[in-house]
Amino acid sequence: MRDPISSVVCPYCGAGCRFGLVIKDGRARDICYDSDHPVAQGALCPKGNSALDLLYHPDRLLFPYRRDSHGRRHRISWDEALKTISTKLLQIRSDFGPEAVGFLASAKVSNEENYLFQKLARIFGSPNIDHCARLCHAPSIVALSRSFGSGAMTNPIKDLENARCILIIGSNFAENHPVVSRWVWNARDRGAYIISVDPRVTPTTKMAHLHLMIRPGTDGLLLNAMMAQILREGLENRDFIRSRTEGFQELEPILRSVNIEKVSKQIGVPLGDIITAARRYANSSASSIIYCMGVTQHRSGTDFVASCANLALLCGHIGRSGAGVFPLRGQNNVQGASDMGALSEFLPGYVPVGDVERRRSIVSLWNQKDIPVGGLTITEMVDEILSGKIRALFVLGENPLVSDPSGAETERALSRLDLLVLEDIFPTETAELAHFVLPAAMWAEKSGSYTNTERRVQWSPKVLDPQGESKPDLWIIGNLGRWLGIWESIPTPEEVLREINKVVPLYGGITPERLLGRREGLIWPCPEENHPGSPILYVERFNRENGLAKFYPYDADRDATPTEEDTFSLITGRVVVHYNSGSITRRIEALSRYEPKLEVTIHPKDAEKLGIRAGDLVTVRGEREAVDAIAKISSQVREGSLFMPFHFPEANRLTPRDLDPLARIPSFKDAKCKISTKGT
Amino acid sequence: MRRLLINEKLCIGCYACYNACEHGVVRLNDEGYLRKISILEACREGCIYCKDICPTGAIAFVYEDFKVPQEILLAMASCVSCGLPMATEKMIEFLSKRVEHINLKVCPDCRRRSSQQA
Amino acid sequence: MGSSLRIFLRPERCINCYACEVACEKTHEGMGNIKVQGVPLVCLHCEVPPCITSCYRGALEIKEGIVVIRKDYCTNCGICVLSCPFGAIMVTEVERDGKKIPRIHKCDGCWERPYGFAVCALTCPSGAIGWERFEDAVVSKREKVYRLYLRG
Repeated sequence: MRDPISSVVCPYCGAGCRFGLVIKDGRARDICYDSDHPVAQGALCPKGNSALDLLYHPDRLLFPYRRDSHGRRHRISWDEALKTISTKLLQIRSDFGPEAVGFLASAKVSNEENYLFQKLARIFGSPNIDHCARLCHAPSIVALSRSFGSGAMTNPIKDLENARCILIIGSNFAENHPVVSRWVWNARDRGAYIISVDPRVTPTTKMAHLHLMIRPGTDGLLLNAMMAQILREGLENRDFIRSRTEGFQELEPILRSVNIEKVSKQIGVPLGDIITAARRYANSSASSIIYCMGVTQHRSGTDFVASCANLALLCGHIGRSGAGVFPLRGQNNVQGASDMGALSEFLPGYVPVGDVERRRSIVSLWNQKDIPVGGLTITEMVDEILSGKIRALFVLGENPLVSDPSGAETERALSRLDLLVLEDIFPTETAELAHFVLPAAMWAEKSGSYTNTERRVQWSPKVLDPQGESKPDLWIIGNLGRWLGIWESIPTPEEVLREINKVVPLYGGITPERLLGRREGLIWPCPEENHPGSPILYVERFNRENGLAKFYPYDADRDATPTEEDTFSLITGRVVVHYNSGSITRRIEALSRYEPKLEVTIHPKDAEKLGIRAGDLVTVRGEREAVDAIAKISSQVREGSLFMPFHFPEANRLTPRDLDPLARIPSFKDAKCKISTKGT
Repeated sequence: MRRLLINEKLCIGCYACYNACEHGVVRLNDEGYLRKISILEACREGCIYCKDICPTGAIAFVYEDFKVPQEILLAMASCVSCGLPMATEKMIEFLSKRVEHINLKVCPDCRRRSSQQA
Repeated sequence: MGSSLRIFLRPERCINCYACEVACEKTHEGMGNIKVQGVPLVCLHCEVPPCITSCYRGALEIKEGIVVIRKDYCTNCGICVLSCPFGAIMVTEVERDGKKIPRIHKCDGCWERPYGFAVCALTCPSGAIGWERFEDAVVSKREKVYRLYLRG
């Protein structure tokens, strides 16, 4: 007889692939590929393939422990851990007020857990709830909600194959979301024209017909120039602009005044290529824009995203099959965590905290009169820890020491806290500073729903028992709430999802009964029980109040910052075999052997000028700190720029703390650096 | 006492007997561009695995006291592309009689690389 | 698996993600049969395989279109490794009684695996590796040429 196979959602990126685990004697033995899945068609990237190494890794945290002031670990029981943590939290609340506690949710735990966590934080009285979407797609949420009404992908990934022209800007999905490349290739095989905008040569640019190798941080200039060219040639979709949008009269004069010839010099791309890209995008019958962190992680990230939206609106390439805007999300539930309101400025369902009426109606469901507003974001919390306003931090499965900008400052802040509680699966770098470390169960050891980047909500069932004393996050959060006196009983994931159905209209019809029955899940908005889900958004109207989309112009002149001689701009990004802060993938030998050490890529001409040879140990000096890395010489980067993957603790020690004014995302993609061989 | 004797003229220096010998009697060492096959001890009774599998029938057993160790040195051919030793010259000669139209001057690693670049 | 199934590679699609390598190693006890360096390289299961002609033991055979090594016949002599024009037969050294012993292995189309299908083709995210019927391959090739012709 065959061993039973249980289908689970992949714990890595936001593509939301599913695979089967072959389970025998209570242990997962093998992976089975799910060929019917609508996103992946059974495909899995190397990370997904090594999922079993992750489940049974010897480094896993199995017992709760406390670290004393000398850094020694003392194993404690769950009751003791939760009791001490809750006593300390209550003590801090009575001494410094509830605002002195910060909560960091996680994009890697289920919707139910995120929902319960933000509910816990807000009922506890703290407005400071945030998660790592701040560090990747906060500008998308802000800008796309502002322009279209919802901060999410407009079409499903599979729909990419229907596009006739695909503009990839600031995304290296071939390495970050490998399964997306299958759909882009299919589109290309069907005759679509692929344009890639990237300051580096990557596996993604390989699939493009036209590669615009722009200077880092000039995405907004390029988009404006493309729009200007479209206007100049009269290729815009006047009917669409008239009937479905507003605010064009503000954008038009800005675009008319753009000097494309000058922009082409500023961004370092031939004029002809900009014109070709503009014509191809505007003239095709269905064009899609794929963008990612190359657009968002900038000082003007929100404006860049708004420009992507403007371009789609200008040509009317939205709301149809094959035409849409695709912000690819990086983690398996970062979309869900944002939907569940684990962000300081949004309540569940993207209700702005400033909207008094809707806020009150939500919190009345929690039996509360009102909740505090005006919370801090991740990066701001670090600043406020240093200023002494925040005394305690509860971190749910994140590794801020590696993932946040300016690592040294984060480290200084985290070690100043009165109480740092970390819930995680591995002893990460942050665990070395935490006072309490709680072991969490892994994705296959708990049930819950996950929302992937295309808004597909999928149920991942519990198929294995948690190892050691590790517990599902829902159990930990629920129990902590009990100790804090916030609620009486620990809910099951199904109960929480039913509550979400009531609170979040987008998830209204995504009930546990429906989800459990279908492996492919449901795509929100799904307001009612019998609603089939909405794969394509904005077919008839946009989600803004008047049903129209709005242009938000971006005045590019603000951003023209000249680079000094011998200063390099450092681009941080991902490589295919590693994942985010690397706390998982750096431990898995099957993956880390491909990229064992931190490498910095430099252009051959720059290397020759500085006398750097391949394999040399070099020092990269940022504004605050310097780190060592191994030099890799390749013309995959432009002259004057460097590339470094951020999966190693060193990379984010160099990134600056400059924030986007609206979305408050740090400018990860453009750190000013100097480079020299070690010792000189 | 039984010992193993390899016919030096016939031996092509492949891995077959080295792999088959469970008692470690056949030893094989690559030293740069030379492959050294050495028999330093007597065989166990009744074991004929190596004789059975030898591609050229170069192995025989004789009954005598083990006095003189046997050592065979075989020249390695180097890959014309990367210059590293790839196999013994006799192996390539043996193979060239069995297959046609294969470029045996290039090592498998370089063949892989060149077919990936093409 | 029908007898006319053929592995096909679309090397231009490869994104160098190593998914096939990781999957293959996982399925074959650490002995991967596929190597990626910009494009995937795996046994193409030739119609007249030189490895079969080269083997003096008859340890390689064609099973329903797939060239497989019969483990109980193979002596790991290394002759077939040299015979493959693509270098698709791999050698991995394993430890036995303190000796390093070379092991010869090659793609077996995941013959003995429960999927009934090669894992590299199942897992490839970009669709660079696949299996298809020989007739389908001809048809798709013809369509591609036709489309190119239409585009001018």
